[in-house]
Amino acid sequence: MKKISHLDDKQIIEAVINERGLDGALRRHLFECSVCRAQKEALQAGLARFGQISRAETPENFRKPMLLESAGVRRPVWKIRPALGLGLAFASILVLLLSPLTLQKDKLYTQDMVYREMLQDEKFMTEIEKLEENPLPRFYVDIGDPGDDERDILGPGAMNNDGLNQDGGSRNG
Amino acid sequence: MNPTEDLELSVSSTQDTRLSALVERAREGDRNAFERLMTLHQDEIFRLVFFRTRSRADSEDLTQDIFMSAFKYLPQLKDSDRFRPWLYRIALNRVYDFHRRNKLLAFFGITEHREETDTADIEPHLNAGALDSVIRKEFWSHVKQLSKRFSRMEKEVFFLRFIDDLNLREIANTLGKSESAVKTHLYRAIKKFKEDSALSDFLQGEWHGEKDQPS
Repeated sequence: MKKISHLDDKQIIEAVINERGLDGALRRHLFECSVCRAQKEALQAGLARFGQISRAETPENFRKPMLLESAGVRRPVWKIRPALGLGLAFASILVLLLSPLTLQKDKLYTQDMVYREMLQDEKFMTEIEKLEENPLPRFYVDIGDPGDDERDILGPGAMNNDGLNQDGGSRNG
Repeated sequence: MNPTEDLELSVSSTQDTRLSALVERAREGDRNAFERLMTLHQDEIFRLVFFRTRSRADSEDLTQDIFMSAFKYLPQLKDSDRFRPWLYRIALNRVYDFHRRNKLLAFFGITEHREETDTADIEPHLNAGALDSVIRKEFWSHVKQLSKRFSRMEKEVFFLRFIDDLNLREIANTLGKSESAVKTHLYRAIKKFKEDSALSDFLQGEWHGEKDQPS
């Protein structure tokens, strides 16, 4: 077993602060050694005396504090009334959802879409109305559907190579 | 553990439970419970303030103020077992505010700032016991000298341990430090206390002088 010499100043102070924090061997030594124990007790006595005198200096008959009538506990708002708390929480969420910052983007998008859809609808309706009220003029119908005379003029016979050759021949001739 | 220690622990545990129950009731706004808490702690809070301000009138005002703050903010105390350190923390903060305000007022010449004096601002009182005015003056002079050698944290830890009688855990909770940090500050403070031979002689003389007195 390790032989321990007397405790040094540091160990004596540590013993005063917290004896249980000392190493087991040191504690045993402190328990058995009257010299070390006397040192520790002297220091403890000095500190106790210091506290004792300080406390004795405090006047006893001081004005005692009183709990004033106006004094009240300050509770967090949500603890005052649970229903009020719930209401406040709901209102906060609602405000957050309906706030301009949250709505602005969606709102712009919706307005734009509706406007475009309205324009398209209007255009489409205009076309329908035109078709209903102003049928295609006869002139354009005639162009679209050539008559028998025109068909003859433009017939394949009139556009054949012979015709061209004849024409070319006469030019050349 | 011997039976005496066992009994002490049991008594202490019962007291803690009662205190926690009082704190719980006071948190719900029970004024009677808070008044009971106030009665239990008013002496130690007044002592804490008085030792740091050395003015009876200021200490009375500050003690009143501390308990009003405690009542107001009690619902915000999360752990009712930590009521005492929490109350001490409020008290210390009030004392710091008091010194700060005084320094500021003194800076603008509104009031005269009183540095730590050699004597306490009190009339001779009955509980002074054998301490006559000369001894009292000497004692405060030693305290002043010792305080000058301490850092702020060493001073606070030392006073909380040996004057206010808080244990290491309570000091740690009051100051918002770890227990090991408290031990380190306390070690340094006790070392300085031990090295102050004039104070040791004074205390020894007082100690023996008082012991020699016939009861």
